[in-house]
Parts: sequence; C-alpha cells; structure tokens
Amino acid sequence: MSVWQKISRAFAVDDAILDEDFSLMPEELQEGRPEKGKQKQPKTQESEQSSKPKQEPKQDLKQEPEHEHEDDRPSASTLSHAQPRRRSPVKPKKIGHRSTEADDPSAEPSEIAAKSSRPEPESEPEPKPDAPQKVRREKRKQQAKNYEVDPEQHNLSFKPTYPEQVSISLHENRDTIIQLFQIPRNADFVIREFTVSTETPIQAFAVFMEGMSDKTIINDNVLQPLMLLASLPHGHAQARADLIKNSLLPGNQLQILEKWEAVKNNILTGSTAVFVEGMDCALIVETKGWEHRTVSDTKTETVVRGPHDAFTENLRTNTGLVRARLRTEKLITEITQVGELAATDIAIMYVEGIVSQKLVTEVKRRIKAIKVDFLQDSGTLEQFIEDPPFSMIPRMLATERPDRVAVSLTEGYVAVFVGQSPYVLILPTMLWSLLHTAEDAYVRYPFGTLLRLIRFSAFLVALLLPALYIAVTNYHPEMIPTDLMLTIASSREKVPFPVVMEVLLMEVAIELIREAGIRIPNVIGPTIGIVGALILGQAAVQAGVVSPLLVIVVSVTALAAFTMPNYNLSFAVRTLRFVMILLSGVWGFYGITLGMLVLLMDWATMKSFGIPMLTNVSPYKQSSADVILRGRVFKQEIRPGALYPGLMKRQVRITRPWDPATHDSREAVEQYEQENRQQDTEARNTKGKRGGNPT
Amino acid sequence: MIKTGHLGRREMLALTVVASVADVSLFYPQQLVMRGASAGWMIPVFSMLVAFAVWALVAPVLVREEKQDLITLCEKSLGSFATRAICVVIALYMIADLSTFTRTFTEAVVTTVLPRSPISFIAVPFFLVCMYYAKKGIEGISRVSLVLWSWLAIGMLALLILNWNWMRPEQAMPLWGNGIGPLLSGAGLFTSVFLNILVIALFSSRMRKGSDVRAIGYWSIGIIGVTYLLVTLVFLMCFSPEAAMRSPFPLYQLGRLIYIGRFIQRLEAAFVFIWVVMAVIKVSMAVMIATYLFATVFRMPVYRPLVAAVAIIVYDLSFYPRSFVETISYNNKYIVTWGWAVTMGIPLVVTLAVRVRKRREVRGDEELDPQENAS
Repeated sequence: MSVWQKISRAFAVDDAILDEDFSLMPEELQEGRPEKGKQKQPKTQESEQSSKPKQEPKQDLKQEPEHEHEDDRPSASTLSHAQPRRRSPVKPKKIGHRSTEADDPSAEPSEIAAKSSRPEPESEPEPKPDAPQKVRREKRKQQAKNYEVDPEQHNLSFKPTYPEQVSISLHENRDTIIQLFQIPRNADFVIREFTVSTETPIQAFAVFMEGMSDKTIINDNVLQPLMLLASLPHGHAQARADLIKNSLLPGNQLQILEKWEAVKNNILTGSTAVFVEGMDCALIVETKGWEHRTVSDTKTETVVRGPHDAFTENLRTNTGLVRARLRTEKLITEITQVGELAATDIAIMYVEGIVSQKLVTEVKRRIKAIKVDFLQDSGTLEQFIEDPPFSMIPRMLATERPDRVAVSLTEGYVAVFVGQSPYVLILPTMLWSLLHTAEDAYVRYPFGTLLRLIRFSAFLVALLLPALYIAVTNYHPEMIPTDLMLTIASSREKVPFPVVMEVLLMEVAIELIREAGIRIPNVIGPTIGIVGALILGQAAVQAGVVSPLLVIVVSVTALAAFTMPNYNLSFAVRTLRFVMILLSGVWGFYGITLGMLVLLMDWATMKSFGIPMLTNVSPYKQSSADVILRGRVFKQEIRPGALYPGLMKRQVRITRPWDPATHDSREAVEQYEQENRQQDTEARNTKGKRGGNPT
Repeated sequence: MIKTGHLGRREMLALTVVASVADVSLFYPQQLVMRGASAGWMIPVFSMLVAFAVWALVAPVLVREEKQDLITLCEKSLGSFATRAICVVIALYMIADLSTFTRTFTEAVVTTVLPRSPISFIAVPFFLVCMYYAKKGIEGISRVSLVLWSWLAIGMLALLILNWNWMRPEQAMPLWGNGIGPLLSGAGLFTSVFLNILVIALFSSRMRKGSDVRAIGYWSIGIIGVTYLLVTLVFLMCFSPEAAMRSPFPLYQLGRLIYIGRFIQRLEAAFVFIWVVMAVIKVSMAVMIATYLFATVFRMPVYRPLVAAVAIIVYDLSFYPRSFVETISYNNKYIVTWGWAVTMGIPLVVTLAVRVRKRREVRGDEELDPQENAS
C-alpha cells in the first residue's frame, strides 16, 4: 500500500462502521445492529456483496494442484481464499469513488492489488458500452500485456527438479538423492550403501543428515537389523516394505512414503530414509537427534516461587513441556510449516472446547498467509501476524515459561510454538497481561496483588517520571514544598544545561549502558557496572553536568523499567519515555496529559486478534479478579469473557466446602452442593453474551 | 472485516457523564453563583429534575423503538427535510458550543498553567489531539472515557474533600439566595449542560440492548446533576458568593486552596489532568457528532474527511471573541439561552412526533378494522 493509499484509507472509512477489524464476537451479535447506511442507501456494501453474481466460485473452481511438485504459484488472492471467508469485508470507500472491479467488497487490499496486476482471462465477457469503463478496461488490458512478476506478490516456492514418485530402481533413487542434495558438494548428507544379507543379497542404501540424526539409532535400529538379521522374501514390493516395517526396523516411528517431496522433508528434519532395491517407496525411520540445549532455568522470567524450567530450542521438547503439565486429550497441537526456501515448523496449541474456534481459524489463516523464504523465530512470526504493525505495545505475549502457557491455554488462549525458538507466543493478549508474571498466581493473593500494584506503578514511573521531573521543575515549581524546591534549585545552580537537555543526556547514557550490558562479553561484564556507576553516579555530578537529584530520578526510572516482566513492553516504555520527555519539555503537565490521552486512545482502539488491548476494563468484559489486582484463587470461577470461551466456568463456586466460613449449616451445604451440581451440568456457552453465561 | 459496532452500557454512561460535566472545570459554577448567589448550588438540582422529566418522556420511545436513534426516528416521523434541518441545527449548536468552550479552556490553561504562552501554542496541540480522537470515532472515545472516569471521579472527590478545612457552611446562606425566581429561570437555562440526553438519543441504535438506554439516561442525569451540585456547593462554602462570582475557574481555585500539612499543598497543576481529559473528551465527541451529522445531511458515506474541516472551523471561531469576558458574554447570550432548545427540545419534539405518528397509525388501524369486519 502506497503512502497515498494509506492516507486515503485514513480519511475514507465508512462512519457507520465503528470497528472494521477482526473480532471474536459471535457473528449473530455482530449482525444484529441495523445500519443507517442500509436504510438510507438501498444497496450497501453487504447487500452488494450478496446481490452480486457469485464471483467467488471462479476462484473456488481453481483446484489445488494435484501433485505437490507442480509449480502452483498461488497469487495473493488464492492464498487469502485458502480458508473459508466468513467475514464481511468493508472496503475503504472514497466519496464520489466510482464503482469498479477493485471495489469488490470481498477483496482485501492485497487482493485488489493482485487483481489489478493480474491479466484478464480471455473468456471474460465484453464490457458494456460504457465509455469510462471501457477506457479503464483497455488500460487494464494494456497492463496485462505488460505484466511482470511482482516480487512482492509472487510465490517464493522453488520449482522442484526431482521426480514426483520414488522409483522402483535403486539406482535411479540414488541418482535422485545425489542430485537433490547435491552430494558430495553438500557435505552434510550421508549415503550409506549396504547389502541386506538374504540368501539372494538385495542392495539398499540409507540417507541421513550428519548432525541432525542420531548415529546410534541409525547403527542399532537401521543398519544392524538390515545387514545382520534380515531375511527378506522375493515377493511383491509392498509386501517387502511391510515386512521391513513390521519385523526388521525397530524404530519407534516408521513411515512408508512414495513421494519425493515428503521423503526430502523427512530427511531434512533428521529422519533416515532407507531405499531398497525393488521397492518403489522409501522407509522413513525417525532418527532425529540434533544437539540442542537441554531444559534449563528461565532467563528472563525468573520467579522465586514456582517452576524454574523454560522452553528450549527444540519444538517437540517445548510442546512436551506444556503437555506434561496439561494432561488432557482436549489439548490439540496442530503443526504447520512456514518458509518456502527452508520450512520452519509452527505448532498451534489450544484446548478444544474451551478456545473460541473463530480465534483458532484466524490464527491459522494469518500463519498460512505468510509467504517468506525463511522464518527465523517467534519474534519474526509475531511481526507477520500482529494486528496494527506500527504500534509500540506488543500485541502478543512471548513467554519462555511452560506453566504460563499451560494456564493460558486453560483460559482459552492459543499458543504458537515456532521452530527452534525458546519463546512461545500466547495470543491474543491484553495490556494488563503484559504486566503479569507467573509468580503472581503462586503467592497468596495479598502479595500477588501487592506485586501487581508495584509493577503497575513501575509502569507509570518508567513512562512518566523524567517527564514529570521536567514539568515540575520547569513549569510548576509551586507543587514542590519550598525546602525541597530550594534544594533542587541549589543542586542545579552549577548545571549549565536546561533540564530537558540534562534529562535527555542521562537517559541516553542509561540506554547506552543497558545496551552495552547486553552485548558485552561475559568476561568483561562487570566493567559496565563500574563505568556506569563512575560516569553516571559520580563523575557527571562532580563535573556539574547533571544535578544529583536527576541521577536519582534517572536511576529510579531505570529500576522501574527493569521491573517490566515483558521485554517487548519494556522497549515500548523506553521509547515512549523519550516522547513524554519532549512533550513535557515543551508544554509541561499539559503536554504530558495530551500525550497520555493519545496513548490511551491508541491502546483502547488497538486490537490483538480481535480483542481490544484494554479489554476487561474498557470495553468491560466479564472476568475473574485477575486483571489488575490478583484476586483469591478460589474465587476465580470464570474464564476471561473477552475470549468468548466455549465454557465460561472454570471451577465450582464453592471450592472450600470444609471451611467453616463458607458454611455454617446443613441447609447451606445442601444449597452449595445443589449449586455446584447445576454448574457442573451447565450448558456450553454458545451465545457469547457478555462473554458467556455467568456462573 | 467484521462490524462489531456497538457501545457497551458502561462506555456510554462514562462518555455521556464525562462530556457533560466538562464545563464544571470552567466558568459554569461561577455563572451558577452569579444567577443564584448563595443558592447557586440549587440550580443544578432543579435542572436535574427538568432533565429527569424530559428523559421520562424521551426514553420510552427510544426503548420501544429498539435499534433506532434520533435521526432515524426523525426521518420516520417528521420526514427527510426536517431530519436534515435538525441535523444542521444540532451540528451548528455543537460548533458554537465548542467555540466558546475551547476558547475558555485555552484561556484557562494560559492563565493558570502556562502563563505568557501564546494562545495558539495551547490550542493547536489540543485540537490535534481532539481531531485524532474524533477520527477514531465514538467507540474509541467511549472506551477512553470508561478508563478515565473513575480517575476523574477520584480526583474530583479529592479536590472537594481536601478543601474541607476551608469550608464554611454559613456561606451557603441565605438558603434561597436571590430568590426562587432566578433559581427557576436559571434551572431552565442550565438544562443545556445535560448534553447526555442528546448524545444518548443520537447513538441509541449503537446500544446492544435497547432497555439499557433508559437506565443510562437516568444514571447519567443523576451523576451530572450531583457533580455540578457538589462542585458549586463546595465552591460556595470555600469562597463567599461575592468572591466566587469573581473567580472564573473554580477547580483551579479549589486546587490552589488545598493546604493540608507541608506536603499536600498547591495541587492545582495536578488537576490540570482532570481539566484536559474532560475537555478533550467533550470537544472530540462534539466534533465527531457535528461531522457525523453534516455527513448525514449531505448523504456522505463517510464522516472522517470532515473532521479536520470542522475542527479548523471551531478553532477559527474560538478566536472570534476578542477576550475571555466577551467569550463568556457570547456563551451566556446564545449558548446558555438557546442551548436547552437543542439538548432537550429536539429529542423531546422528535419523540413526541413519533408518539403522535404511532397513535395515528393505531387509530387508522382501528378505523380500518370495523370496515373489514363489516365487509
């Protein structure tokens, strides 16, 4: 989208639409609102869409290539139609804008762009004798003639140069392998040829990747049985393959594959492919065994009380860590891949029956839409699928703690694991969640609440303290008690810079120290502390560059920023702090207030997978007492209503029936039990009213 | 892209309350004291009763005609031309009200917080923020209102309570001030601050439950009335009526007065936050409504291109009065005198027209039925 298009879009959104983004709200609630536009204009965008002759089937008819090897090159439009489109798109509409094909309400902006650059099919009917339209079509035909592949729209998949099916000839298969992996130029791939020791020896070979496969498994479970123990019949290829699979290869996961694409992908993930003469298939033995860090302590989300294990750089280990905690058959892990040059595994995890299916569909849709040659990390994926890409506050929670993922899944969130990333994305997220830690739940509720209050205060301090210092000293000194004001004035007497400059100098110095502290080799790490303390704490004050009070202000601000439990949020706070400093330097409290109001509006309207970032507070949604303060754990009976969970109830109302404070009579006990029984059989939430049925 | 377009009841309540009490930080309490002297605090009470009465007539129609708002109801009952005329009148009223409001607000900021600053230096960032809010739409403004209104309430209460050591109840005597006549006439005029009735009527179709509209109306009228009452009463009890008449910014003066110990004193700058928040929410909402109505009048499918234009017009008009005093004079002469006709009168007229039309329809049906039975 060009700059002009963006500006045009900013000024041309239908005012009848208060919110045009994806929303988790059930559709029957969304459609319930009559629109003035509908009443006034006989044909609104929706009615246009429904009354239009079905154009969609054209694309639906475009069948997927029968074989994976075919160069399908789906355009952006086909990609976006991969999932059933249930949402009613609203296009930005300019005043006086003429209706064109690009106005098709079912088209995304990217689709419109793709359509405009795509050649017209020859079978298209002649345009009506309408002069302006004719001119436009001529122009488009001209564009179609000069069609050039747009690198941004073009599919990145590489055209395969290998055959589709595994051959019956061992020799051909070996040649294909050599050509495919460019052996011996590519030294990572190993071909081990051997003879299966039967009465009539049969030739075979195994292919695996050095460094990705476990050699012990290959020796003990692949080569040894086939070379020393085998006794194969001369029969049908399938029978031979079945025999090998059932009797000779004791690997715990074994597949018979016939297509080269699948064989290639398995070899690349560390499995061993075994090819046998006379078999038109490959036996894939699971021998993955690359080196990776073992499960170790958390690095960025440390707690005193609670589990200490963290995710590692192994996808399966990570999913296993969550599954070990959340042992239910309802926990679903769907695996997909992203990356045209090199595929990265993506695991989407959720609890069936609790999660909103709309959310899962949207997550999968966004991930599927990614066309990139290589996806590096969850941090990269996050940027591909987040809602408004220019906002500073993170739109999803990256965590390295399996326990946090497990509890989030039970609340109706979706977790996304990315390849070798030790950070798992929990989505959607709200601003409040970014200030929570796992430990809040493990300590008793008064202390959990206290921790939360400290953290929320720290958030404000980290964002605003230097700005407030500037505002008070520059514009509103009357707010400070006289003695303190005199102290500040005397300490600033020798400082040659204005307060704003002084604060900016110190803030930049702090940022330098922080960045250097991360990048510096561990061996000389302590140097940073000494340099920082000397330069900032002592030398700067003694030299009269900054006032001692400012050193305290900047230090407290830095400490407050360190308490941010989310690294991405910490970045946002640090960046916004500079904006606030500038605003307060120019307008004092007035500027800070205006800046905060802009931020609030940004946060209030920003969404994470259909949920406004300030949800639970504004817009209000039903939830247990776990948003800002940490409530009592035995009172947290419902899941967050904003997620529209399949089942709102999390626990029965009376979780401490033995407590004398809970009951004092037999009647009360019976009543509680009856209530609990009712809640146990409570119908699943399908209406989504205020986030679900109250319990 | 899905349309979720609805307003939660809490959001709507917060929006209407914050937008309507924004004037309390400016010269309205002073004007109340000038009309009612020591009984100035009673004027909001009477106005509140009038507003309750009006709402009692308006609300049932809005509840019954679920998913309808003032514009659609007007179109049904009074026709297209009248609808356009009413939209233009409301929009012009909003612009005029905003002009005086923004001028007094910027003057207040210049006088109290940023002295010696050029007025445009204050007004330009203010209008930029308001334009941003108006562009984000009613949903965003209402959400911000909901986030902030508890903070505003705490701030206002703190402001009132922290001045308890200066309060002299005898300064609110004589009880009837200048007499009951000025109180009643002031109450009639003062109903224009109950902007909430108009806002709810305009956006009632955006509520998910029609029955919520009634409760929101009553609650908001009550909260607005009590807020004006309390601020004016505390203002009167802290200053004498004579001093209060000379003080155009009561919240600032009250903040300035706070002195509890050595550390809780001179907090007027901290209350800038309250002023600015209320002003931004009121102005952005009014700009949004004005542009929305203009877009409706001219059958424009969008309102956002008009936001900048309307904001610039308001900015220009706000500089039309030569001074702060002249601004207040304009406000009293036009806005206060005729504001009630827009905020109360239009919703009342439209809903009455709907009732009459309904009655006619029912009567027509009844007349038709005997004929059908006879045939």
